[in-house]
Amino acid sequence: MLMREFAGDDVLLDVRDLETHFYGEESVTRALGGISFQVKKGETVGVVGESGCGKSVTALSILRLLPKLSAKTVGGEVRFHGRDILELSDREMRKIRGDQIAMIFQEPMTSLNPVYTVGHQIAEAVQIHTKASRPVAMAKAEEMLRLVRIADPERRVSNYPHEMSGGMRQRVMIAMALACSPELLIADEPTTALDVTIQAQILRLIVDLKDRMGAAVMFITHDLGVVAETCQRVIVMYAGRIVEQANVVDLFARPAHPYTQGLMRSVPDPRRGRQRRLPEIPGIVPNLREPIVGCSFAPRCPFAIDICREKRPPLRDVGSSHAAACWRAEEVMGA
Amino acid sequence: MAIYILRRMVSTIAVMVMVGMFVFLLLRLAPGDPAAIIAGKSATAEMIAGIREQLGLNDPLPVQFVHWAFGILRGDLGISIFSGRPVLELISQRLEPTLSLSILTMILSVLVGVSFGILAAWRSGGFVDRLLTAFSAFGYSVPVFVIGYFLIYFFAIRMHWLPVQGYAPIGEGLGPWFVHLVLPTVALSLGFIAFIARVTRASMLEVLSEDYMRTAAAKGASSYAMLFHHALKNAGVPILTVIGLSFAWLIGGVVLTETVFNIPGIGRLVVDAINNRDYPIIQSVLILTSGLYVLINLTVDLAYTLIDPRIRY
Amino acid sequence: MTLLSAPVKAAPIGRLRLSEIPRLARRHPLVLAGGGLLALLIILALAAPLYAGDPVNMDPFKRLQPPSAEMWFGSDNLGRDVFARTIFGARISLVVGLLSAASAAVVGLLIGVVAGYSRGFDNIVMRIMDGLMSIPTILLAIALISLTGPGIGILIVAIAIPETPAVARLVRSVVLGVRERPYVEAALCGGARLPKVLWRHILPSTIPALMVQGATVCASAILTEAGLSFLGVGVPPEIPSWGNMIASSRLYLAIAPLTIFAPGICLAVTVLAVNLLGDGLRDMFDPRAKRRR
Repeated sequence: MLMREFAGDDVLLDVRDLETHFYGEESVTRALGGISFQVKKGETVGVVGESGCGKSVTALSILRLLPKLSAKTVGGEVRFHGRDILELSDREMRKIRGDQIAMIFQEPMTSLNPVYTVGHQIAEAVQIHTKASRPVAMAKAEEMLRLVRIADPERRVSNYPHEMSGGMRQRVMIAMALACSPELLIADEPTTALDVTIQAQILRLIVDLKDRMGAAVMFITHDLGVVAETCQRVIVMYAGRIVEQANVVDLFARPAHPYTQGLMRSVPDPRRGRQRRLPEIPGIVPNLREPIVGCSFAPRCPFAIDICREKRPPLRDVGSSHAAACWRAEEVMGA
Repeated sequence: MAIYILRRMVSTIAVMVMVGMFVFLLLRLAPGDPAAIIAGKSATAEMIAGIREQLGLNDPLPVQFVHWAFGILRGDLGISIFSGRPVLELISQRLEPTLSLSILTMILSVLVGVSFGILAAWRSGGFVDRLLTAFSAFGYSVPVFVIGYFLIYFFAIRMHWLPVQGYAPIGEGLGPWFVHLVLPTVALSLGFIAFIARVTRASMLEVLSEDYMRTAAAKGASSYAMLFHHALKNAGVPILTVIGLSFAWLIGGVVLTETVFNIPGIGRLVVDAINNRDYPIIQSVLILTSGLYVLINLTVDLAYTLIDPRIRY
Repeated sequence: MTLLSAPVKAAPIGRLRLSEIPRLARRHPLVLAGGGLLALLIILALAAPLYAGDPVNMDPFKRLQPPSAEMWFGSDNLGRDVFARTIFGARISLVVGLLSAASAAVVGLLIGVVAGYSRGFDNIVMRIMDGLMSIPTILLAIALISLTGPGIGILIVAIAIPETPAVARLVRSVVLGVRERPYVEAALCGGARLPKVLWRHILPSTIPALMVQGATVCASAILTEAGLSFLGVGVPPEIPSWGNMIASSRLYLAIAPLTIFAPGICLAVTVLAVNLLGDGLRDMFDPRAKRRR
């Protein structure tokens, strides 16, 4: 199959046909319609798409952090070091969370517990996964704060979240996530809620630290600029499925899916100066509560032909390490 | 912070003055001459005049109020009409049973109610949760004197497991003291447990859906740490508030429970006082419970700062 | 004024159409269960003389009899029919409960609306309300009753007064929330007079909360009445009420438990019905709370 040469030693995370449903009062939302991808050791993979396309659900499904009552991963495998972590007991899963796979969330303002100091919260992560005593863990917390370049870490460890700015809180989140040197860091829109000026700093910080610690990173974002700057490989998602994946150069040079093309066109290009109007993708995202026949992008697609409305295109290779789920990928690339 | 405490103090004093005025007027509004009421039925005209003079009833009302209020502040709660003894003495004699019952009830209700609420929130929609819904409908609807008689009937009269009624002073040994308090405490606690459990559950549910709970889970925190370390401290402020506010309710329940179980506490004292129209006792108990209520809620408000660092007055 | 019509429609739950009530009740079984049970109790209480027998007739030869075909729940220590007394007792509980709740709701509504609209009044009145809330309901009622001695009228007043502050506070908070809403400000800017705005825009939005609170107050009032009667300071002893029955039979618990359990269970069922209705109404008006509950 596609791009799965063989699950070699360098593959860290191997997701196969992951399928997650959300349960409403009278409906089922197929948030993930069976997605497959791999993350290699030390690699940075971007996951892009509009809000609601299943990016965050993918992350939460991998870590098994979905809300228990309303969501369930109904199929597929998540192989981490070759072991399907969907099969693990809750106890075994907790040992992986925060230790081998860590996560940074979108909302730094609300993602830290308001009633504990940030030092305490970082130290907690250390203490859960090592036998460190509280003073040792607190020293580690201080060291982590220094690592994420928070000024005056000796003082800041005993600050409460509400005493910090959004950018600083996100640094604390990063410190917490990296405290146990995870092999995989999942960053779910880590810069979206921040000021533009802070965004670049936080991105650079994540990339620097990742390189220093040799962790792989899954960068979830809707911002292609972020992807271009930070990632080696890109996964494009639409309506709960992967529609294209490629290394970053190929993707930007020759996008093979009309949706990817649309995304790129709607990014302002400073080289072209002031544009009168950014092109947007017409139409709306399909309702995932109803079964979709054919390609889910077809109703919005300028390339759509009859087959697109009848049969769902499989994700297929369109170049070396470049795959797209489009019947007319070759024509799209040429266009 | 200091300014906030000061402001709270001022409003607390304002509330207490209101209550004081109300309680003071109670005796004045009662039909008949207060001096005649206090002197009792067999008093002569001279005796009534003497009491009138002694109580300063010939002074203007505001002067009387100030005298009375300062008397209370000095601990002078007046003289019981019925027994002729100082009210303070009567109340302090009755304090132990009432305190025993109230404190045991508080401990039992908070322990059981909070745990019950946490469990129900943790598995919301599950068995414990449904049990809580049913139990709280029950606990809210069955008055303490009905539960009390059920408990007495089954556990004391039929099974002979526990004493039917009465109170054994703590000085005579912990065993008898505790055995006599089991049924009253359980009877009084049921409604309280339902109440605290429901508030705890609602408050925990709110907290459990917060982003930082997901962060804790992503760290690999255990269920125990999530519930008791991360969630409970955040849910604590509303829980503490309702426990403070329900103090007045507890006292009402204590009065009824003491009657059911024949416990010689302050509740019995008040009920007997109504039948004897012993106004100084009624007035004193009203002032004391209301003062205690206000004090408890002031303490609760200030205790917030210990729980939640965001609250800075 | 056409501009205003849209935001007024968006007012939360302001208009509850009568025709929608049956459909809502079907979707909210608690309302149906509580309301139905309460309606049944009211009918049973109203129709009491038709089937229940004489609640006050004493028969010294039939003291503390076990249940029989003649007296379904047996007789009490004075030889009175416990079944008849229990049924007639419902009348007292319901009358006192409903009237106290209604008085507390009306007075609380008035105080709350005015307090929500006038700062000066607010400061004074709300301190008084705080003071009232600091005294346990039963003690406050006892104190008020001690002024005149037992009687139904004073009982209703004495129960309503301690319940009023909670209603006033609730209404005040709703009013404070609503008066800042754009549609209210718009109405005022548009030249509408304050009383009209209060009546048209502010009062309707307090109704849902008031109904829920009214049920709570009613349940609490029924319990307070029973408690006061049980203590011997509520309903005069010659009138059959559940609290009186329990009080007068408590020495005979071991011999004739039904003399206590029959009124006790009826009391609990009545309060349960009112509470269910209240919970159901809350779910109906605030679907978010239902999911949390």
